[in-house]
Amino acid sequence: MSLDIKNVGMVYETESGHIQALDQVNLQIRDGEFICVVGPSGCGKSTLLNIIAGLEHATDGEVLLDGQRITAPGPDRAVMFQEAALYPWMRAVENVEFGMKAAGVPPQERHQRAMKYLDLVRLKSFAQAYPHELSGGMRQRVALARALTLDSKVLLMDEPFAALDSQTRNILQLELQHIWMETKKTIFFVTHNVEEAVMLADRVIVFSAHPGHVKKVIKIELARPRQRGSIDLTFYVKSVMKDLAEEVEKVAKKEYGDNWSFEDDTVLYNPDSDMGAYL
Amino acid sequence: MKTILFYIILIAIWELIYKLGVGVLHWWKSYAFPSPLSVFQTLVSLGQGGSLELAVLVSMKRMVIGYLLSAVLGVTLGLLVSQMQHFGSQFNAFILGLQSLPSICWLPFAVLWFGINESSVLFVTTIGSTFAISLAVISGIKNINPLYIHAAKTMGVQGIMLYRDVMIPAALPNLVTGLKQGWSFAWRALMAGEMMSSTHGLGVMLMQGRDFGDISQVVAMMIIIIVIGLAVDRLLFGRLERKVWRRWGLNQH
Repeated sequence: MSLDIKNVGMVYETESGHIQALDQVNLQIRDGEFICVVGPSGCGKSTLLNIIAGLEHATDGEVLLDGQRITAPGPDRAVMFQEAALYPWMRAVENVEFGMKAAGVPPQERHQRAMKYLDLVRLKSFAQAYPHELSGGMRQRVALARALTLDSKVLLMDEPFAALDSQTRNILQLELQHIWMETKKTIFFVTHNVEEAVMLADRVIVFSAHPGHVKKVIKIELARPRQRGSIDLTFYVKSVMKDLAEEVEKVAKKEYGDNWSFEDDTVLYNPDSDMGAYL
Repeated sequence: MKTILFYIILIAIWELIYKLGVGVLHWWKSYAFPSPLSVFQTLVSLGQGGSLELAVLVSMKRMVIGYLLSAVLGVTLGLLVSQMQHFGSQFNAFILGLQSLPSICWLPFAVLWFGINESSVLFVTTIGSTFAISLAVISGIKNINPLYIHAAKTMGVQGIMLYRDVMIPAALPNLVTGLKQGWSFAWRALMAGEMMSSTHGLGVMLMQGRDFGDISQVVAMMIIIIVIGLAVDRLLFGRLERKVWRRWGLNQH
């Protein structure tokens, strides 16, 4: 497997002129690599993922998967979205089977495989539940199982844990590391959470905003499974943060006005503050 | 229990208005406002004569045929319009216009095309609910969470399977609501059609009441029409709707 992102650019035409979402993005992803893309919101990282998925079309450049130009969505690039995107009228196991159904896998076999992957995400006992009966984290795990059954060349994950509470997110980050080590999948993971990126990735791609392009590539050379809060991890997080802070500030300035700054107002004025009178 | 009490009070008020309006204040002549008792007696005598059962059966048969036709036509039309690349929104507006046209307005056409017979009544019934169902299908498809379709496409689902396994089930809650609405439109259209051009059925019996100056029969027929309409709406469609909405994990409305 090889994924080549070549000079990808994306321009949106809007009523107030056009917006350059991506500019000259170049990236090569090797087989079995875990890539995390971080960047401020609106930097075009999800757009890039959608282009790889084939859901959006680049206005410039191309994406090659094993030398084949990507033009449309397909099961060789499984996608996990921020929302689980499970079908509410299907039971969990039927949801997991659905992709294989489209691929023409016979019912017996797809049921077995679905159960295998549900077991991998530790949801075998919830196979018969409907999505609305599951918690947010469980739904995301079903979606992960469904994505894994496609046996795709690459797994695209678009902030899959962003909508979950932090405890659930931690558990899923650990589980994803284990699953990645077991399945040796190539994963392209988009997030705005630096700690998440450093914890999961072989390489962290820092995206700059307006227009979005690759600002820096940072190799994370740490043993797995990586634990939250370890000193090595914190060191990497700090260094990525530094690169990212500039970009976040750039976006913030654009949204809050030019006189906005990180440095100002670090102590918030609190009208209820009694300046230690309770002592 | 509460329901029964509600109807007892309603009938009591009716009786009171009858006593006051006809007996004491002489607002109406007795042939212009029936008492609950006379309506009840009319219902019993019509029921014993068998003409009521016959009328109900005839009307229900028309209803079922006309409604099924309109469901098939309406869903097909709705799917076609929601598939259109061009003129989709214009078609939508056009159907909305047709929907707002009372279906009895089609009667002159129906009579010219089919004559005064079964077919013309069926035509009016069918056209009465077809557009309502189409509109429900169109809005149902339009309001599908785009994520469902994106996810399906990334799994390689396309063509008929995308429709059969994703889009139609995703639109089903709205579709069922539309079918329920279509039923009540068809029911109204059928009654109007029967009153204007038919030889038997509930609408005809209501008109007979008018022709014979028998206001009790008119009200008796009105009650039967309401009861059947309500019963089908509640027992059949209401249950179906609740079941689908619950299964889909949506909130009750």
